[in-house]
Amino acid sequence: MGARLELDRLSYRYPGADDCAVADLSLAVEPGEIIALLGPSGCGKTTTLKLIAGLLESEGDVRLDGRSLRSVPPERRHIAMVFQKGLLFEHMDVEANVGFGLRMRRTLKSQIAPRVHRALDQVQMSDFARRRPLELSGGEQQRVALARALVTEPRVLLLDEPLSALDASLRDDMRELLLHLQRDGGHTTVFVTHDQQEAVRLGDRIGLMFAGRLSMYDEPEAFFERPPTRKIAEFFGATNFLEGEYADGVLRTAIGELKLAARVTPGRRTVVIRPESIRLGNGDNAFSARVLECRYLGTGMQYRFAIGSQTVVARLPADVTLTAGETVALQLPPAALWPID
Amino acid sequence: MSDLDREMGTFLILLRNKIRNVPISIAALLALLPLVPVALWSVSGSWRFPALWPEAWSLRGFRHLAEPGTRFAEALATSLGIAVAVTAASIVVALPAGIAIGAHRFRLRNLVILIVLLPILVPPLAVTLGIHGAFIQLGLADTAVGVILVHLVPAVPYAVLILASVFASRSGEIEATARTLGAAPWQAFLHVTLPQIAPGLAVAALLAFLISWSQYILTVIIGGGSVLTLAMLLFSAASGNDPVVTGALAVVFALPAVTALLLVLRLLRPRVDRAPALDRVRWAPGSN
Repeated sequence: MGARLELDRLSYRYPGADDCAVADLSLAVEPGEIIALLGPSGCGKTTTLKLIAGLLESEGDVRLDGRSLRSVPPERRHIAMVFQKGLLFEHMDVEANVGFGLRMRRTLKSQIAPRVHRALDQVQMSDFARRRPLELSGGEQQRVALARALVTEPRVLLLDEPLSALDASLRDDMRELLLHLQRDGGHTTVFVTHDQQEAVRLGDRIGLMFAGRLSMYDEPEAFFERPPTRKIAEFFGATNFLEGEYADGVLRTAIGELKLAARVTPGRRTVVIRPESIRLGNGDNAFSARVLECRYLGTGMQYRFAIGSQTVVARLPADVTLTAGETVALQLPPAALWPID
Repeated sequence: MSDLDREMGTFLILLRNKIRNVPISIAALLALLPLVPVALWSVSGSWRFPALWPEAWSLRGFRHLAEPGTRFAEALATSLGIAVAVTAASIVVALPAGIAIGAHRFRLRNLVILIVLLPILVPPLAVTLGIHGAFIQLGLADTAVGVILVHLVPAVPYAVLILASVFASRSGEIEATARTLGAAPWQAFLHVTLPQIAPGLAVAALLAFLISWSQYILTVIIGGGSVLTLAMLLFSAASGNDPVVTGALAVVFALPAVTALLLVLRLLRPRVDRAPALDRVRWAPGSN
């Protein structure tokens, strides 16, 4: 079973750099939980993993089950890290690769082989035990790298962009495998990704990072339904922002009055609504809208509408067929309007 | 990626590697070609001017070398001993330097690189004349140790250059992976770094060996004639008038160089060569 991982005000500055790569980062991961560190490239996600693994010396503290890892070197942390590209030891065959950690920790010889084979079995690579890494595809290498980490029974598993190097078709399989192994083994897992969808699909919780700082740490739904800032809402694909003056339960905007379900303090306010929350039809907050542009998305249609001077983007079912120039009634349901800072 | 794409890819990789070997082979040929007349001389009995080919064959040259009076065995042993010592010392010095310069960024790094390269930028002869004075005071002149030390002057910079480039192309993440799997720093170096840099290490070692092996002037100045190497024997034979003995000596002298060349060619062969194992290469016509 994995350990509880706590990061306490972690900071790190690369030698010679002006800004911190990671600044004042605190978060906790419960035992057996899998969390995503999400953010644009260069935001300090991978650096954070290296700090957790002890590969870089940081300010602040990393704690496992409450015990500080300050001054504990990487090899004694029992935190296994899988880097972005499989990074297998090319001079060893698959079996030797997977057994590496056990050999380094001087596990009894008689125990190594069965554990290695079980690990290879878990990632469905048993038939490849004698292969060399260069003879494997990217996906196969990734699976071996995962087995090599899991076989050491790490207290925390760190994964750096585990799926980004794979083809789209392999990615789904690998994601399922990863989730399955993680749930089965109860490994406390932190993975890094720049892909918002991946973070949502894999993560129990998501830590969103911008410029070395943790902007938000919460369950995936919260990023869609309750984004605290415009930047976060935009990162998660919300495109419609409406600004106005709030008083007496309504927001007076350029396009008219909007009823809000959420409680808001009076004053100048901005609300956000996701493209998929906008509906056709009448009701509260219904407006007459002109179709500007339509685009087929495969799973639905994306339309750009003009409501007066405001442009909104809406995602509607594929069976809705509107043509540019047409005027329709568009509803922004009060419950879907979320106030942001 | 479709199956066909993958098969085309495999085919292209194989083809590319074949083509890539062509210039290497030409280079090898050019390096070996001048040795042909020397090799012919070494086994000729009689070879007068207009003849394109020796008129008679003999092993006189090699038999002559085997005679005790020629000091050939002694020179061979000295050359080998010095070259091996220079190789070992070069690697011991160049490995940490190569790691530092290749894998790390630090203040005054460019200055350090310049200082490391200085011995091959400044003519070694000029350096050696200065060193000679110091070595006389230290009692190192006219000794094998002195010769070994002076051979390090041109050998170390090349070894550092090679190893620095080896480490510059490594991200260090492979060692980091090993660390998180439970390897202490020395274990990561021994089990991961060392096997992976082995080809680069071998090239650096071979180069250091050859630099020492073919050294003449530095040996003469510091060794002062009391340290007799094969290069010195060859030099005096070449200024004599027996081309057969000179040829035989040259062949022995060239042997390590040729061996080294072949070894390096093997080591430098693109690693991808081995990548598509036979059971994965499925582009044979008609198989699809």
